[in-house]
Amino acid sequence: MIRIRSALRHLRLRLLPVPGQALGLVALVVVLASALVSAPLMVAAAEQGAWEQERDRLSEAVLGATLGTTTQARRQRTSDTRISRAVELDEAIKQAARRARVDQDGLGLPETIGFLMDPMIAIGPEGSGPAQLVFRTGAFDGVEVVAGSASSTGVLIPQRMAERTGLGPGDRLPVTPAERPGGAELVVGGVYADLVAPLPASWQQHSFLFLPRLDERSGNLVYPPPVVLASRDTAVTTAAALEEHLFLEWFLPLEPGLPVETARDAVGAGERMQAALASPESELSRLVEEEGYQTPVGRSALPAVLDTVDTTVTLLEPPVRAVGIGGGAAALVLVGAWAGQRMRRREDELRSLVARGLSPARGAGVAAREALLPVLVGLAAGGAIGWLLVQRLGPGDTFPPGVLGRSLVVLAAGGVSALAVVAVVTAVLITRLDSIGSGPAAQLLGRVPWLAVTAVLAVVAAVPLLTAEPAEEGRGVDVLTLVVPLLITMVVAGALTAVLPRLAELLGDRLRRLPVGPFLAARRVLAGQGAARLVVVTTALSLGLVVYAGALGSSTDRTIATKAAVATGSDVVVPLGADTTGRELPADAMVVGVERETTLLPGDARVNVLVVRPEKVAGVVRWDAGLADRPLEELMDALAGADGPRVPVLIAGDVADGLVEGTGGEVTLDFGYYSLPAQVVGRAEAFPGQSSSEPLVVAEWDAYLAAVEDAGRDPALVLAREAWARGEPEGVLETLAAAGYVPSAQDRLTTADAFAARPELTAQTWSLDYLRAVALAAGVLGLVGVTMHAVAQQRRRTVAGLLLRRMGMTRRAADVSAGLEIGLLAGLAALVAVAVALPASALVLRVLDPVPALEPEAVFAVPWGSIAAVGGGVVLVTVVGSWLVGRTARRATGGQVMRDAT
Amino acid sequence: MRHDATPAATCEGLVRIYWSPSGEVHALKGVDAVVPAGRLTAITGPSGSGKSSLLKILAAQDRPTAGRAEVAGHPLTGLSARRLRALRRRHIGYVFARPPQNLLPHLTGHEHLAMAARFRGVGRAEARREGAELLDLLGIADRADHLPGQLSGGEQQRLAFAQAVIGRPALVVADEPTSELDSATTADLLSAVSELTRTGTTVVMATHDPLAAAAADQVIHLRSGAVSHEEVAGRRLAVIDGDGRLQLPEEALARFAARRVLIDVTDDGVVLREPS
Repeated sequence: MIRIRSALRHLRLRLLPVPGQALGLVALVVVLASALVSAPLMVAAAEQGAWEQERDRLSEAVLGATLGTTTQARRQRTSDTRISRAVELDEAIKQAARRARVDQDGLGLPETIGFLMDPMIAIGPEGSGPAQLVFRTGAFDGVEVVAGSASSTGVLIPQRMAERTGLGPGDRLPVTPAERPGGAELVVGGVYADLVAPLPASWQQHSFLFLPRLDERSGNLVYPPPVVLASRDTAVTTAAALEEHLFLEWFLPLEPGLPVETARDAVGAGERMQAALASPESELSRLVEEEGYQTPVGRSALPAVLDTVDTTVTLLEPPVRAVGIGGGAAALVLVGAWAGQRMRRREDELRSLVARGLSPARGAGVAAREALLPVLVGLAAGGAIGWLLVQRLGPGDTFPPGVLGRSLVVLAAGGVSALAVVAVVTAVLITRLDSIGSGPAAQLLGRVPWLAVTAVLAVVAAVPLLTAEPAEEGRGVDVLTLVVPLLITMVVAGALTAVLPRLAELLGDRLRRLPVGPFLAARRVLAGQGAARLVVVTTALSLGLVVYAGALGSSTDRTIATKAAVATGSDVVVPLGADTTGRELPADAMVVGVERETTLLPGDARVNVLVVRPEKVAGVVRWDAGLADRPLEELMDALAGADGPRVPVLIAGDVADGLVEGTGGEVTLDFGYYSLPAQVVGRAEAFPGQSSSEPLVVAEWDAYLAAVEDAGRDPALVLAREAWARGEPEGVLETLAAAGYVPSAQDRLTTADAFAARPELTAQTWSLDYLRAVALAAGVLGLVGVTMHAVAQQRRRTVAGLLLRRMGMTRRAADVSAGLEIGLLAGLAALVAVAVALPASALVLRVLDPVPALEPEAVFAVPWGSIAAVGGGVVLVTVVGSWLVGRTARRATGGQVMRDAT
Repeated sequence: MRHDATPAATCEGLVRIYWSPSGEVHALKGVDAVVPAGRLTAITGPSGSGKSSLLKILAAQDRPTAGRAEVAGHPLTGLSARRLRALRRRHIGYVFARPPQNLLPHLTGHEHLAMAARFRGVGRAEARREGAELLDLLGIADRADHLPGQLSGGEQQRLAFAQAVIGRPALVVADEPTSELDSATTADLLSAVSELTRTGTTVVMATHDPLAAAAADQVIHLRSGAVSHEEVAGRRLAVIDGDGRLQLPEEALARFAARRVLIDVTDDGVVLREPS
């Protein structure tokens, strides 16, 4: 037992002689490991996150694979059975899917939909008209049957058609081809409720069957014929009887909730399916050969979506790697500082060992051995923390299998680096300890004006940032954008601490009039000694990083939101027919007019025109104060309040001021075949609806329409209409429908969310979120460093403190002194951090513009949250630090202190 | 008892110059000294006289700028840093002035000796035997399982000497080892050190303490970087360097205001007289 205890003690002495000191290293390695491991994890999570984002935005219905063909021959071949054998064609496709085992790789088995190429004519007792015959797997489940029921022989007709034709369940429905003789008869099994926008998810892919489409030439809505739903066999038999060809589609749905890896497998499954269809031995090939069908062609949004995912990851990877490596490097520097501090705290011990012949290599080996356990603990804890943080707060919560191995390699490299840093720093310091005086090289280094050198470096590094133009696809955070603000912070903090002693001289007598506690604190800070200077500089760097990352993050969020608002108009934009009219929309929705590619005279500038009702704009668009130098209300008042023969307009975008001012604001909108006189009543840098870099002319609705009519044109013909509204697409469509507006098929709908989901924006947002997280860790480390410095200073001042107490200084005065000193040091650092980081981020923001092609330019946002966090951190570190210092002071007994001091 | 004829360390014309931003500092200006083996030698002198510089050279922690220094038969001049470290490890023990500087707070007395023996390449059994002898000799055998914090200042310094002596180095260098001890503890420690020298250990120590100087077999007194005189067995000896220069004691020097002397060499010796 004694031997075991002795062995354990021996082991502890070899691995962990000073446990308290090891705790600091554990904390640093935790940060190192978190920073290093989070980089590959972040990239891996981004892949899954980007996939989930796209999957949620587009829905699985869009992401599945679709095969399409028709019963029309691919060449001039006649066959009486081509339409009726569509059933065999359907079965052949399903058989090929089963053979290709698509259902094992994330795709479902094919669901069939078929409809006539040309609508038939349905003849009812009270009227007749065109109708579309549709069959679909599970079609009857996707509608609400209001009368009768669906069956394999009876068809479902829409309510609108039932009312118009007077047909009902059990009635016979004669149908004929539109342009040929012939006919067939269907049995009405039931009536279903008309499908209106928003359509159920199962019909969204085929919204053109139910919703009107916008005719690009006329700007009018073209309504589809009513849809008669039938079983496959009924539909095919009827089509054959009518000799009407069928469009056939097979939809292979993507299984819900798939991870990105399985989604990639699903692409492979789709390709396998295509290969199975092309196989000469397949049933399909036989049918194609016999009947001359066109081989079904596959299409899917999935590969494009996965490309988007890959683009996001590609754009995200460099900045995340840069930030991760930067965070790791900073943590390694701190590990080096810890190694130096270890030497300092155990200098007596090491000096004694050096006097007895300890070599730098042996000392380094001992230091590395003693660091091994803390490093291993730190790696394990940091790895787990990094993993958890990325999983919980990162872009996605699942990681691909390979990332674990990569993460372990990164962790191992970090651990080896930390041990190497400890060993190297120790070896260097032992070598210095072993040498008498400073050599010529050290003396030369001592004479280098480091502050001036750093200042020059900062200027040189800042030049490329100042002169750089924003990259076309946006520029992520890189080494330069990280290093320049840090260098500037270093210079400012260094200069500030260098002038502190001079400030002490200037303050002179005023300082001496202070009470003892504040006097001591002020003298200690203003002395600007090496350790205090180092603390101010390093804390300013860490807090500066917090503010800088916060400013970049907030500004980028604001920029993206502003650009989304400008590029899209509002949350949801739905094209309407030019001739559509409806009731008044609620306050958060409005109808606007759009006319593109107009010429603005003078200047011949290509502009787009947006026609709005000024009183509705504020409730619909998401306005940012940076878009104009006047509030939106003022701009709209100017637009609404203008009186005169000319159309009042605002001009947003890049139009020279001189052109407008030279004519007193009188301009002409030239549409080629007519022109409108306009009066400029305001300017904006950008305006919602400005979806390209071309300037936008915003006109008042009534005046514009009156001017168009005066020019002899029909506003309904020249002005395209859009509904702009806030909210989710489904809610907006319901609102529009309730107000009597008929939106066109849903594929034309655009949203601000879709804009913000662009890969370059997603990558930018996530990389800056990651930078914020790493910066926060750096900030915490910086503040912990201030506390450690304060406690170390107290240990160094133990004797002085005891003497001061014996001279009559109260404990309260000592506590006040310690608290003020910590607060002043941390406050100075925070001041420098905020003062440098804000302008530096404003400088860098310009080149980080993620979509420079779109107005407006990057918008700056003051990171109040980060500034508050820094302020809170300073207060917290002051309170905690002064408590720790007080505790350290009270723990030292007078007798022991004086004995150790002699 | 071992009093070898071969000295443990010798210095001839030792010069040490330090360079600082304010200029050169001549710490030693040609010191000649011999540290006899198996004796306690004290180096005394006022602050700035060169005691620490000489001690660092004797402890192989520094190299002379000029002159010759030899420790345990190894000339220091020309030795690489690695060889200097090896020399320190094998042949030199060192004791700092402050007890906490010599000892590791987390090791017991036994563990200190075991580590020191391992440094010096002494086998485990031999180290255990020698350690026990040393602890017994220095009178701290019953305190050997205590941590330094549990020992008195005198006990700590005795342990420091035991640690420096284990493995029988040629020379033990101590930098003012009694400076933080009271007179009774100093006397105890000096008595213990004398015991060590009686077993053949050579100790050279810098000291301001008259008690320590009185306990030494030989006292080398430094002044302004040079040896002003030596005391051996209570007799004061002036030093003549290799070039025949003699440094007179202050009271003798005061008699030669013109700084010129007449030298008469007689059968009894050499007589210095004022020219007048």
